[in-house]
Amino acid sequence: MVQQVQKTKAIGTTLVDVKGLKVHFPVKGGLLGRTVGQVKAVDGVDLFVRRGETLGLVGESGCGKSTTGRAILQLIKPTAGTVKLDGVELTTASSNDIRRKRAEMQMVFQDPYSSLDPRYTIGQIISEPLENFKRGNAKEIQEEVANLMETVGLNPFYVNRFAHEFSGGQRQRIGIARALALHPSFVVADEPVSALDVSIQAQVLNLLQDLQGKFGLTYLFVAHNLSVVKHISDRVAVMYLGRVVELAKSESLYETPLHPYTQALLSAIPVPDPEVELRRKRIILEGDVPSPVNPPSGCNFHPRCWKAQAICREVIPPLEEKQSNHYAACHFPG
Amino acid sequence: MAANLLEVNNLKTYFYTRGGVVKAVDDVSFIMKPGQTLGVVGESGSGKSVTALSVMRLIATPPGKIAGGEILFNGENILDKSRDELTELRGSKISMIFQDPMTSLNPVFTVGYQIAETVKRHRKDVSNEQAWRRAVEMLDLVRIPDAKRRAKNYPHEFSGGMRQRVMIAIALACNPQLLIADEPTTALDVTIQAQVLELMKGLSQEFGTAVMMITHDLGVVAGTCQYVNVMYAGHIVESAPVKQIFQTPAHPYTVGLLQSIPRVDDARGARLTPIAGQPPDMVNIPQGCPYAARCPKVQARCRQERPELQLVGRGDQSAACFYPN
Repeated sequence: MVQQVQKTKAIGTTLVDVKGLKVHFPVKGGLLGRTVGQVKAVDGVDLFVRRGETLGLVGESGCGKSTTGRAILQLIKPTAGTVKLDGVELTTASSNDIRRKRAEMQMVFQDPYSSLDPRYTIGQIISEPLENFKRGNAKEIQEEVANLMETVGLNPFYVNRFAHEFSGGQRQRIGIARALALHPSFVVADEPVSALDVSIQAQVLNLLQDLQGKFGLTYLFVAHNLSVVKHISDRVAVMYLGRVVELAKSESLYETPLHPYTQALLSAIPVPDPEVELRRKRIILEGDVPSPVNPPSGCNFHPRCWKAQAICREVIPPLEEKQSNHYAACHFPG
Repeated sequence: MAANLLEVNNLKTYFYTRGGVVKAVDDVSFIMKPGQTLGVVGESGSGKSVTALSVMRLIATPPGKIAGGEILFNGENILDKSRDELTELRGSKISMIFQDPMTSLNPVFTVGYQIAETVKRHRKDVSNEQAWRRAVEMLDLVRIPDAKRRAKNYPHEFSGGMRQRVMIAIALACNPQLLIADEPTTALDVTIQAQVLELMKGLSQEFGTAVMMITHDLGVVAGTCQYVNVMYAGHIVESAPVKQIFQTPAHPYTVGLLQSIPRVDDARGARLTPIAGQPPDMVNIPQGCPYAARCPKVQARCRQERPELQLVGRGDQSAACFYPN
């Protein structure tokens, strides 16, 4: 039997709980290919996602946001830390158990060009998860594929076409249909609109919001575009060099950012309004993001921070609740 | 009139592919005054980069060809220039920086050498030593710390944002009159983008360089440009001073574009209004207005006749639309 659409569960209970997540990649070097260092892509991330909400995960390239998303889904084995989905620990689960859990947690990828197999028809792409998890006989699966295509705004008439016959926005819809095929509760969307043109971006963002309402989905929305993240997220986590530096409700994060990095990041976004642009004060950060192979001591933002004091160079500030439901990892927030 | 730095008249740049003729730029006209910053916005395939490459005469032939029109730079038609004359022009009077700073620098030469090379190419009377000094000076100008030492470094020793600064240093080394920047910050992170845009703005003001800023990001346009051309399917559909583009957009495409982008200073939850449908197939652009198929205000006339770019009665603002806002 094709599984019926899950009923929306109570919003507010924690669905995904991540504690102390670390992902370190070895750096090989020398003649013998020995490990000479570690890229600390994710270095102690704590976060939780509530049922039915969208948590935005933002940061610049190399901050570890995508790796965090993948490590939560166990697509990359975390080096340390725990990840609980609906109370079930994933990091210690057997590969069979994780495989079964995959039906509940899915992913939408950034690049709609490389994430769809060019030799498969759209029907084959969307039905593959249904067949893998034996959700019904051939006819039922066929019907379900047609349903899914309609749900994401594709004409089921095109079921036998190949991915290259579709535009970027349509391909992203195919990727979303595939992710939804097994009626997951949790979806990690990794930069789902950044490869699309602006007029198409809005179509896909609206679709994601509609689907969330319809199926009670919980999203982890990974993106570098802060305007897009603000638009879609209930809460937002800001990452810098492998750590979450600030986590708060969307409104309070954008209105009263507490961490200096968030403040600089927000001030750097160009606003499409010349009047606003004229009035705005920009915090221009000096220098570049340091290498995650050899991150700075203490607060890893201190070399670029205008508020840095001696303590910042020595002590790693923990992510603490500085205001109600507003967490920041900074010794001198505000 | 000699007051125009750049005057593009009825430019047509076509690509002859196996699938048919792609009219990437079709009958585009605009002017740039000395020192002006012009934004060219549009989605992928709208013809904004091809317009820039045509001005630089960098269209690969075949398959591409400038099929018609003229490009007057300081009153002289660039399309009539010989190869040698073009080489003389590029890098000294007109410079270009590209989107990808990783691939536009030569990995086997130091950045100092690459800047000095540009200077020596265009100034015969400059000695090696003077050219090197100029290179260091330029690196200092684009705020690369410790420029004297860094000039001896290779491109791979610089980060993305630093490499884009090196590109800007090369582009500005000969004090060009026109700098064409093709998505200069698209590959960079926002905090680095802010650094680079600030730098470009400062330098263009300091040296009076005119900048053609090609981008898909309306936010970048709002912050850096004085005048804007909006392109769609190979045509300029709207052309206006920056304030008017954002406050009183005239073409339905500009309106649609502004409504479809989420803004960081917006309240959350407001639903976006996307533009329906897809951009047209460039090989087979329907007759009439190229935007007709997606336009909410479309009338029978729009599907038959192509609207010309004309003033809409608000000063300098013009739109290619029969029913402008």
